[in-house]
Amino acid sequence: MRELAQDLIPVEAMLGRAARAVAYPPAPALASRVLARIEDERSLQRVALPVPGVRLAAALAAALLLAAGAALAVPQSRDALADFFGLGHAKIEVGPVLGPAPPVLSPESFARPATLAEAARAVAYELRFPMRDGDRLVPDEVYLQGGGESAVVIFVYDDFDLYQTDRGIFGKGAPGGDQVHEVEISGQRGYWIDEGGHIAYHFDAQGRLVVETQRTVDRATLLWEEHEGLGFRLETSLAQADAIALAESLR
Amino acid sequence: MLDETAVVLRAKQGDPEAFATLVRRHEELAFRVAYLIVRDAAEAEDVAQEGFVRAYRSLRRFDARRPFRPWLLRIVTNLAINSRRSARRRDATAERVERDIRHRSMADVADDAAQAEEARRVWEAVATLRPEEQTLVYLRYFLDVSEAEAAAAIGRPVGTAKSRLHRALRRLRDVIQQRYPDLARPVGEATKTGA
Repeated sequence: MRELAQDLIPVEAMLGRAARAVAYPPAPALASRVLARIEDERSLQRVALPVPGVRLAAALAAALLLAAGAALAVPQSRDALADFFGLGHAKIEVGPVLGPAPPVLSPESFARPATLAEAARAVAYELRFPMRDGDRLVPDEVYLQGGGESAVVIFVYDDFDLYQTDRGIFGKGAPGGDQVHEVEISGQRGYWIDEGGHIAYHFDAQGRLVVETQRTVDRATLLWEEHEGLGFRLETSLAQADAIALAESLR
Repeated sequence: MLDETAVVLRAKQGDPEAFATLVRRHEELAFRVAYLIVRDAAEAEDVAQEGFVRAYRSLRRFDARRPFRPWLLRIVTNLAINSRRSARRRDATAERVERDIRHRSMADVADDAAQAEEARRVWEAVATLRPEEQTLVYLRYFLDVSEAEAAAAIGRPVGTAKSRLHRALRRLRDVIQQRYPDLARPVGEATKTGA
């Protein structure tokens, strides 16, 4: 069988023909249904929170919303909120943000590119990697953010970005408590934050906000830590169960 | 057409009709990108609807100076990818998806059976790419979304999105060469040999 050189396969023309051949079903009229859903949710919030069965996170969020609300826009007041939805390496604050949301940024905007060897030298612990079928998943890109004891190593993969640190603290601002879910990762408590408009930032080892790290995250986020004292953040388009499985694979 | 920034601002202030305007303006694209990813009309409808609801929940945090459409596309594509990955859905609809691909989605509109077969295989090949790559391919080649919007939809700078799309096309060529070698032959030859 004669084979074309790979580069000669006219894949863009093929895609064009495939695109023209797709028979899309008629798009549904969604406006009335979306508005009905929104109104239903508003009604539930007005009438039914807290009720048995409402997640603990949502109940806590409702109770502390007023306290947390202004804090997201006023970094210096964060200390007063200490560890609302907290882990040793993470603070999750729930409430509206005043002023414009920070931009969506990829790691190359707020961290410096590094090699795996540089990243390994920059931290005092052994870097953790997700595993698949017994093999270490090597990241597509590696970044270092900050330095010294609060350095954060960022591994970028196709479906997720993995942050790890041993002294820094990950901060998250979530607009609604119903976005925050307590989960268990290898027996350790963690938090899953649904995708959609939450804010990520970073504190150094002294608890000072690193302003340039503030950014909006549209993907879901998983926050957890392990026994040895390392903190992790996974920003991902994976489903929650897949993200937890990935987190539990870290070695 | 109303200036979209003004509509977004009104929606952020709680005007439901303004948000309904945004839904009507973008529902077709949201549904189509969801359909390309999940390949099931009912599921795509659910995903698109959920995408708008989540967008509304997050709207107060959305910077109205940014374009709404790529932000929405990002929410919808993430939901669609998650939906497709759900084991429940995969198990329940695998057979239906295959049937849809074979008999409804393409063959009904392509005049030439060989072209329909090529399209079906190319779509299947795209489905083997990584989720972010699929999203880029669908947005750029199937839905004619601009480079800038596609990059914003996956949350990457334009340069990064371009390099990832380039890599996706390279992988797509690999898949086609390995799985569908007859498609990799010169145009015309593949259709003579058929599927």
